[in-house]
Amino acid sequence: MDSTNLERNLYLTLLLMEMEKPMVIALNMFDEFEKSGYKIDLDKFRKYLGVDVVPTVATKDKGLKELIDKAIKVAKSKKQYRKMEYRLLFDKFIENEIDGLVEKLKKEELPNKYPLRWLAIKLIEKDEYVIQILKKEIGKDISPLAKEHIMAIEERFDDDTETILTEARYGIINGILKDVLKKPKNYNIPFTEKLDKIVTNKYLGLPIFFALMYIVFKLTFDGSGPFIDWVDGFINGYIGKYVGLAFSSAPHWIKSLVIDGIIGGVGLVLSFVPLMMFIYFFLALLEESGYMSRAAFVLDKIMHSIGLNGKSFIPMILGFGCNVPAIYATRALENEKDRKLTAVLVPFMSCGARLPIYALFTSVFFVKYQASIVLLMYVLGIIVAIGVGLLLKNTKPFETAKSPLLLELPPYRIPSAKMLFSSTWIRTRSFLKKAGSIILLAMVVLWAVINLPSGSSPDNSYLAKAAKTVAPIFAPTGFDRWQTVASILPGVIAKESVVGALGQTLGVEEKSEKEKASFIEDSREQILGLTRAVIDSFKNMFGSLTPGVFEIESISNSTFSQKIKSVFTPLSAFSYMVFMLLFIPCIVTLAAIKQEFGWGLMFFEIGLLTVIPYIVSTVIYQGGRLLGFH
Amino acid sequence: MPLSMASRDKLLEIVSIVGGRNIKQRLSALGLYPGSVIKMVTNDFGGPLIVEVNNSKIAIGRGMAQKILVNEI
Repeated sequence: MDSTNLERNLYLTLLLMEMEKPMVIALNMFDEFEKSGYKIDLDKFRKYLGVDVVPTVATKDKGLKELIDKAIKVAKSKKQYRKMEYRLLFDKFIENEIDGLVEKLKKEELPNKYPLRWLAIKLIEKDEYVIQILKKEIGKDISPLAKEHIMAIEERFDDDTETILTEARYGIINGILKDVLKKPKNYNIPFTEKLDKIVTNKYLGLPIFFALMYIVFKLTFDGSGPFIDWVDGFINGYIGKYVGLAFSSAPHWIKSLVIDGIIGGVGLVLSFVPLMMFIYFFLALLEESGYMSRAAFVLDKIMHSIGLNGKSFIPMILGFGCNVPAIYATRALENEKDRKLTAVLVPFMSCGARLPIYALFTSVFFVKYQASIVLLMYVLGIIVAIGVGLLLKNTKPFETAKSPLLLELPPYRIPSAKMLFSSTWIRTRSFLKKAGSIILLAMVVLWAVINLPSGSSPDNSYLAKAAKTVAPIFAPTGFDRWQTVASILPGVIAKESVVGALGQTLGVEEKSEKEKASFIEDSREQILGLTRAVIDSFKNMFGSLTPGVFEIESISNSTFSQKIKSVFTPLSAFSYMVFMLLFIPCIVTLAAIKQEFGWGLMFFEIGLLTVIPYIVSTVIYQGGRLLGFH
Repeated sequence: MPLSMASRDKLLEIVSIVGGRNIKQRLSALGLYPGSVIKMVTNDFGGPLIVEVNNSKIAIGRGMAQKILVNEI
């Protein structure tokens, strides 16, 4: 438990004790607890609770070993934990009533996994959930047994039993804490107070939020740019070159599969890893510092307009990193309809995997306005999400109960570097896994359908034939060439593979300039390049106020750029970007929705994420043409 | 009076909570139950409000704050 907030945390402990579960308590954040001037008599505390208590500092690995050892010991002892061992009893009158009910319950055939005293307490509290579960398990409603006891307690204390027991539990807690805990005289945290006055201010709150988002965005792009350039060069100019040499005597098709399919496709995807690492890092920073819950507070009013409360905003912003954890993050919402609506809207949040698509097209068509166009994509996603939210909130399945916000605002903390990096790494790793599995597979399959039947040019391949049949449907959106239509399908599997897929359908071949190959020289060059990237990254991030531009050399200077220009106009490229923004993010997100909400919502989402991007892209393309763009 | 009417920096005691079991349970898990003493931290017109209970801050939506009845101390 959070040791800086013992009273509230002990409430949950008490509920667990009532369930008579064996336990060991970890008093976490003990360093902060001591620093803010608290003192606790641990021996007395242990005696009161009848549970072992271990002070820990999880961020610094302090006390964890002792905690694990004790937990194992308790688990192995297999001792049945009974109320007398915990020794925390309610007032005599209440205990008498509980005992009375326990006697009655003894005569019933009950599953013996539930402690009788716990069942008695829950029945006296009129806990609907427990009553329903029991009804299912034993086939009858035993709640009437508790009636007389409930009446006795309510009469004596003149309130309803839930309130009486809640107050009684807090009474026990306060009694213990009075004896064992010494609170500091002045225990407010001045820094948090001051910062909150500004950050949650009714006029400043929103501007500060948007300013922070802008800074995060800027730092992400400026900081990762040089690294993207480096990884791109490393994979295509270095790995590609030597793998090419290694395969120089292999049959042409194997060489093509490895160089074009795997290194070309997966490599292009991998060059965006730095970008994702940056955005994951900043999301972790917002989360761990405590700002995220303030943002939920500030945005509560806006979220209300689409029928959600501020808490729903947290899964949404996580969606900017990756939609999949965002879908799971909806679990933190209390209301089922809120959860569903939030999950439906999450895919409109532009995840890290969609960035490569924007990066590619903006570096070909909108070099001057690159950052602004990418920012526009994010904003557009939010606008569409609001629109869809407004439409859905009044429909039956999503009609929200307007469940109100209830959220703790933790004190601000400077997150430890270890925590930030492990959080960034965990998220990046799952992306890398995807690149190694699903994306690799998609690239190989794609390479196959483009290059088969064997010996055919991409124009006559299986993929081309299939895509050409479907292509006319996309005429209104402006990107109805078979190559572009064919790249949509891999997008369903993973958005990261779209760029690689375009590379393949457009038949981009990596030109390995046959210069004198000196492995050592090239390796040194790569290392020097990485050092330069680190320096440039810092210069970019803190050197200017406006986001800079990154260009991917193998894109902007190569035939890829020429080929992209041959099938897209600036307007159709924009329309394509919007389509990809709003289209099904990836198969893993769909799987997450299915797992959390079932098939129904997943198919609804597929429909929604197909129809909406089609409509919006069409509107943009046709509207753009009317306005004279091309 | 409802919590939503209380003004900033006032010390308040919760008198009762109007609402279903679900709401009461969630509130009591955060330390908000009849008898607990809280302090209003931020209460701007319109949006959610922030109260302090036991040294921790809780943001409460306006709708819910209307269902929590308090007395000024």
